[in-house]
Amino acid sequence: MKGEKLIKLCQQGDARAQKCLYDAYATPMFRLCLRYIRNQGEAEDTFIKGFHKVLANINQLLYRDDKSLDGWIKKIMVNECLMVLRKSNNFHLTSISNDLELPADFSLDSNLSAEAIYALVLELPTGYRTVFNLYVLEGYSHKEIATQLEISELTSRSQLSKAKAMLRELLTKNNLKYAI
Amino acid sequence: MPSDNLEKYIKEKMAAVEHTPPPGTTWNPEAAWLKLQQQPVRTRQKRNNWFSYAAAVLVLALLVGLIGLYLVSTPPDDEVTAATTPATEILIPAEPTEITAEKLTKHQANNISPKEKAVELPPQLALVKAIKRSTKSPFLSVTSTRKESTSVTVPASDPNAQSAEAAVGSEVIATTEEVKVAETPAQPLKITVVLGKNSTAKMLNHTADNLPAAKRKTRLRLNIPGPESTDKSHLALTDSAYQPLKLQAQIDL
Repeated sequence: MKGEKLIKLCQQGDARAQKCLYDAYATPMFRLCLRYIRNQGEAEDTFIKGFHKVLANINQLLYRDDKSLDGWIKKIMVNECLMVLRKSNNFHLTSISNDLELPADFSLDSNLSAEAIYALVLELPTGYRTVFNLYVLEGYSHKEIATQLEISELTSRSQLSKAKAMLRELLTKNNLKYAI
Repeated sequence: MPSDNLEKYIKEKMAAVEHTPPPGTTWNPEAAWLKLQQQPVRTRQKRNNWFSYAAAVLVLALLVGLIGLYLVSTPPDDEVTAATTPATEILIPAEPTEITAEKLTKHQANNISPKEKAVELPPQLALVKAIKRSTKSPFLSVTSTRKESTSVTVPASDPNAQSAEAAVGSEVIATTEEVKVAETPAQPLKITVVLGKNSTAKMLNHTADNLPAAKRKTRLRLNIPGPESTDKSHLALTDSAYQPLKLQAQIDL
């Protein structure tokens, strides 16, 4: 059960519908939380808080299609993660001075699995990872990121650039390792 | 590798594993669901706006009531008007009366020192001395000044007092005139008149055609002493005072 009917039932307070919605989104949203907050316990708490907000505010949702529902839930979860990160991190002070050498011979024909890439993303420092997640995986603009993280657009661009460079280096190292 | 390709590559890989639990973690969705159920889900309903409006109106009414109560309870400020009332009495100028001179003589007589009393001057001379003293003293109260100003009117039957007073008065006027003249000295009036050939010919009993070239224009300069105003202490400030002099100069020509 998914879609408009599910949302209508959730809006009426139907517990079964709420459980259905939870089952559909629990794992992807937990993964999303884990991408931002590396600590599993904190990520789980954030996920629960976020999903609680989803169920509490579902009356405000104007359902159009599944994509809009995905986007709405994802936005709530991302905001919840950013709230946690803002409390514990200062994005201005994140080191961006480490110039990384970009490997020129990186090829896409790597044997790296998706899980390995996911793990590599988690290895990025918090500032890099947050900007990378927001820009590459969530599709935010630098202006939106700057507003969300209370940093300048220039800092956002710089952090993304450094994150990509670091990720390339990590991918190259692991590519070689996995290839062996 | 281009940057866009890397982003696309990572995005695809992430999407592929989205629905599988992350490895190396003890993620249990059912346990999380139980935790979620422990928190009561309160669905937000739209607030009734009438309640906030009613509250706002109530607060406003309360404020208006308090302000009104404050304004009503404040007593009117009558003390200020009471304090200003005597001032109008002070400002009323005293009219000169003949009786005041007699009163003044008595009053001044009271103020005369024992030495002066011993001399026993006649009342007219005492009055003149009192006037002199009053004009010299720099600090005088309002009431005493008023009285001394009224003391100018003296009964006509006392020629001695009149002459004495006139002497004092003329003395005072003379000093003021000196001061005023020193401040604004009278400048003589300089008038320059340029006569045309017709006027010059008329003046010299010539015809305009027979007039020599050197006398075609005649320049007359007149020095007339500056006029004085009627009170003899100020120069006239307007041109109207000079009009008779101008006319006279024209007639003389």
